[in-house]
Amino acid sequence: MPWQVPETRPSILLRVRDASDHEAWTAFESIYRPAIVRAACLKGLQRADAEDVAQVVLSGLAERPIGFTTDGDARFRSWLARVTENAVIDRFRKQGREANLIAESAKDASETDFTSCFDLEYRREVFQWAAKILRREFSTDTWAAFWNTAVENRSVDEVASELGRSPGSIYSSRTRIMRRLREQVQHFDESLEGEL
Amino acid sequence: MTKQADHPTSADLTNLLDETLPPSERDRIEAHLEDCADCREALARQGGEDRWWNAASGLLESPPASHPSTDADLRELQTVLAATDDPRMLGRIGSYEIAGIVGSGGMGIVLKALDPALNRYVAIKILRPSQAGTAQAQRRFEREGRAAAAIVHENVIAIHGVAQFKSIPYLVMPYVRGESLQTRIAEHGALSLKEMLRVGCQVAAGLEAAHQQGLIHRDVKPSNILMDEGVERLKLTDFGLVLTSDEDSVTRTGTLAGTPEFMSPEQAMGKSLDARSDLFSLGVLLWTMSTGRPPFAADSCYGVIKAIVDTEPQSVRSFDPSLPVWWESLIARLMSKRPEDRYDSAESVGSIMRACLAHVQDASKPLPAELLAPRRFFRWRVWLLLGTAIAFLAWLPSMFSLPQDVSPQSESGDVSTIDRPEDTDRPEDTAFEDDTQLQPKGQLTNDWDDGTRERLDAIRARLERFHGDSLGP
Repeated sequence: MPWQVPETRPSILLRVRDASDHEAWTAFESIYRPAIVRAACLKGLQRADAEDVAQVVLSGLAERPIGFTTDGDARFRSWLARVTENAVIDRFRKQGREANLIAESAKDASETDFTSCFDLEYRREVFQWAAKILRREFSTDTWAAFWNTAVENRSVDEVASELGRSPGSIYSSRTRIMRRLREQVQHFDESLEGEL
Repeated sequence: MTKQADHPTSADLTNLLDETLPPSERDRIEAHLEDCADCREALARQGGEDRWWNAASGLLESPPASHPSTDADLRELQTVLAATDDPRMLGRIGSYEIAGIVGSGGMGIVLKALDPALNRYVAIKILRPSQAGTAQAQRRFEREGRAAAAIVHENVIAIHGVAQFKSIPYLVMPYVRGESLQTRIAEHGALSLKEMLRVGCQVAAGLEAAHQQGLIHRDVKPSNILMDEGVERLKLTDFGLVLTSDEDSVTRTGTLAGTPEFMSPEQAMGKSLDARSDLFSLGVLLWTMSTGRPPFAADSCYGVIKAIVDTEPQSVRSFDPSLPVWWESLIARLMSKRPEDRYDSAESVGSIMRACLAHVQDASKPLPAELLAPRRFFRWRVWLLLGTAIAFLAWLPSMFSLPQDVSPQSESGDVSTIDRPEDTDRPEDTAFEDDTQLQPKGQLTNDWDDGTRERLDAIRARLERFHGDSLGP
């Protein structure tokens, strides 16, 4: 009997280490770029500079393929955070002395500060990315049931009567979306669950 | 005690989320959820642990990157538009002054534009600039535009021209003021039989013209049917814009359609199509006009596809008993899961519906022969006759044997022969029941059902590539 390899779908974060996987790259870029920009802005860079930083980091990644390793997503991501932070600090240095001081003090403040800030923006982008994909998979009503009750935390009864549906169907519809959302988020980065 | 027994099991809740329960069972569990906090919690946990719900709420709320989709369309468009001197206009494409965005799909954006040469409004469909990068998308868009332009028919929207602006292709069509059939159904619900026949005849005529050009529409649905002057003069739009022979066609169609509610089973499964796929969609259209809602409804795109492939639509007469039986059999035949069980061409459907319309307007005119003797009924009767004969033959020898042999023999003979007609005549129904009860797929005998699950999974994987613009409802 032939040896059966179990079929698993590697996460996009894992696949992106193969620079020729365009689909993974597109998804990765659409999440990672805005995450870098916002994290860099929060550290005090101007928006245009933050966008430059994102460009530098991303083109750096594209030019130097990271290699397809079996390291976990978490390790890869903390490496990404370090690369990004270094790029931000580089930017501050180039901007001259005054900015340099700010950068140094920012760096001194806490090594983990940038990482946690970047991680939050990153998580936000992954969830938004997944939600955008799901938005197309479900009917408008179903999406509204999820969005209004689970995201905007409005009452189920109120939303049910607004949509002309039973409260029970709101429970099932929103859970159906939640289940897919979790699946989609993990499809991007399997390590995220442990950090929520 | 009985209350306890009512709690759905964990498997029940999974099936509820999978949309695989029969409607009655689904409704029962959903009603139970309203009263039972424990089961609500159990259900929520199947969606994700608390931290997932909290993350969704925290990370998706007031999305910084999201914006209304027309804004996004506008921004995308502005990368292309040339400046205009007219302050009321958004910009210019070629010599056309763009007045606004009328609609948008995954592949194209539809604009209202003024043609200054003729001083009339036109509709311009332009390939999304973000899609224009791929030579394949460009070639496809132009090819389909040219193909559609070749159809000259009063029930098909005319294509005035196919051109390029800053190397992005666009089509110029007449601007139709009237509402779409979609709007009509949404606002007024089901149509009258006469109106439905008028719509059906015209759509069939438009499809016939397209099919003669070797073009399959692939996206027959109410929003693609424009009503110029009520139901008297319809125009079929979006012709062939989704027609492709490559693998990608399913996702493309899905992107344009939003939901696949009007797709044929073969189209939903990404199999190769012929003109009869449009006939199925026409059947779904007639069903939708009869009831005011589409037959295959589900929460998710995946659920809709599954329903199209696996389930028989409800009878339209269960919504409106005044509809004639022949109308129902016309729809049922169009909506046959297997293309070979449908009518053979749009032309024959058209002529049947024209005869029906004549009959409805003047009862002395006969119904077309096809509808007088519904095939299913006929076949059912043949089976019953055959069954009775077999039962009789089985019973005959027992007449001459000992009395204790009589009852088991005759009973088993009866049961098998009476069950037989239904089983053999409607294999689709069997498939439906099997699936709703979540029995193993291996039991299905339908040949085209083979590999359905795999195909659905593949489609689902492809659907994951969709990108929407805004998140809020």
